Amino acid sequence: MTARPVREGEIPFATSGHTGEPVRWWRTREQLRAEVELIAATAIGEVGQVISLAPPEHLFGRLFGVELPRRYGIEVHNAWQDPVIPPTWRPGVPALFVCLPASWVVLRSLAPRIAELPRAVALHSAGPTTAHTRQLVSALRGHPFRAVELFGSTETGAVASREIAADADDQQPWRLLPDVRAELPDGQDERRLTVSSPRLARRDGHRAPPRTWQMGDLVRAAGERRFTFVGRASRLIKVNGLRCDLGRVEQTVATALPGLEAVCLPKRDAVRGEHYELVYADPRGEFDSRSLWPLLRRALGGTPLPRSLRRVPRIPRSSTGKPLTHLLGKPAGTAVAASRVAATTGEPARGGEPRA
Amino acid sequence: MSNRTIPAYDQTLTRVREVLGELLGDGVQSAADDQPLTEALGDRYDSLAALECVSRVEGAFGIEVDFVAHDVRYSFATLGRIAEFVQGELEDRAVLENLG
Repeated sequence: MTARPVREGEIPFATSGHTGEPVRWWRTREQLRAEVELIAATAIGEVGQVISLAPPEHLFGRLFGVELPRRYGIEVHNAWQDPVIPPTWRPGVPALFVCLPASWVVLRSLAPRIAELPRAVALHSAGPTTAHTRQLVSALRGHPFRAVELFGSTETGAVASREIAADADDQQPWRLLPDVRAELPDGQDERRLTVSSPRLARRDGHRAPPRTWQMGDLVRAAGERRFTFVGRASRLIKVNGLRCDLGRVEQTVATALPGLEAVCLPKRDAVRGEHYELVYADPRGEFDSRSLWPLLRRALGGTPLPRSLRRVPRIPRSSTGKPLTHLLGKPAGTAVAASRVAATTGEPARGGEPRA
Repeated sequence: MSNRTIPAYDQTLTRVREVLGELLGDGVQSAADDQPLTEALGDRYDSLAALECVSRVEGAFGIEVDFVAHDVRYSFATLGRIAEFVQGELEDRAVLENLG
């Protein structure tokens, strides 16, 4: 097993693997450059500055907040360190905004300033868009502003893209990028998306990248080289760009806190795109939510903590022991509030579908 | 003339506690009005949680936070300040509606 670059200058990017152990994926500088040039040509066009709201240790932030400005010799305004502080940029210069789900809350307030730019493109990845995304796109309708969403993963890089419309929904089709090959299902069939491209990453311990990669996303064909995203084949979600395997969270909690029964429910999140709620039963009466937070923080390490905790008398299970998550809906006390939030934010008051 | 009734500060504060309690849990109920949420909630109240609070408060009170005009880091540091901020926004909106 080697954890060193096979080629000079390979760069590692970490993911949480299916076993829960972090996995490193190596990319060559040529692959990074190829992706930057491809997206610049197909989605971005000419820009004179980059405002990056995505941390550079993640592939997306590295590609468009570091590699793209380096490749084209343009200035970067790094604004990813503190998502509450509005970014600044140089007026009068065409701009690229590199966005994560949480970036849009603040960007929405900057619509008048973005509208003054001669040209602006917002590139979004690492999780679903939010109601704030659509609000900004709507506010800038008629201005030289475009928002583009990338579909991909650390293992594959970007595989598809689509324009973000003000009235966009999850059923809007994705178009495969020109250097990506994929076998799309026939008719109305759903299948996990399997792709090949010159930009697949090499896994630690392997001599070369795989010839093909099966992603965790279920898709349906939507015409020539187009597909719609149906849902996740796995329990992987992305919390503002950070991968989070809900199965692994449950295993970790079960190991660290014996006696506590925990089930994670994915939630659409108005700020982070996706998040999760931890529903727990405590038959022995050992915990309360106040004592649970620090214990969870210690147990989960760098994995995102749940957005909320909810205690239930028991976890309903099938005859085989599988949690019946559909019976763990919103508690009656919050149903009204949840529907009120949904009505005002446009976010569904339900668990949403994760996306790469 | 606006017919909108502006709630009293205490009502606003109670509603803020309800709304953020749904999101952040019991710690919100036990936090003092002027206690920094970073102290009351620890790591749970990071920048992203603050953004989530902004989003929830906007939805609950029908207001929009302007990150350029408002110092969100200050206004969303304690429950009391959030309630004051909301109160100010509701009063401003009522004035504008009366002018309109």
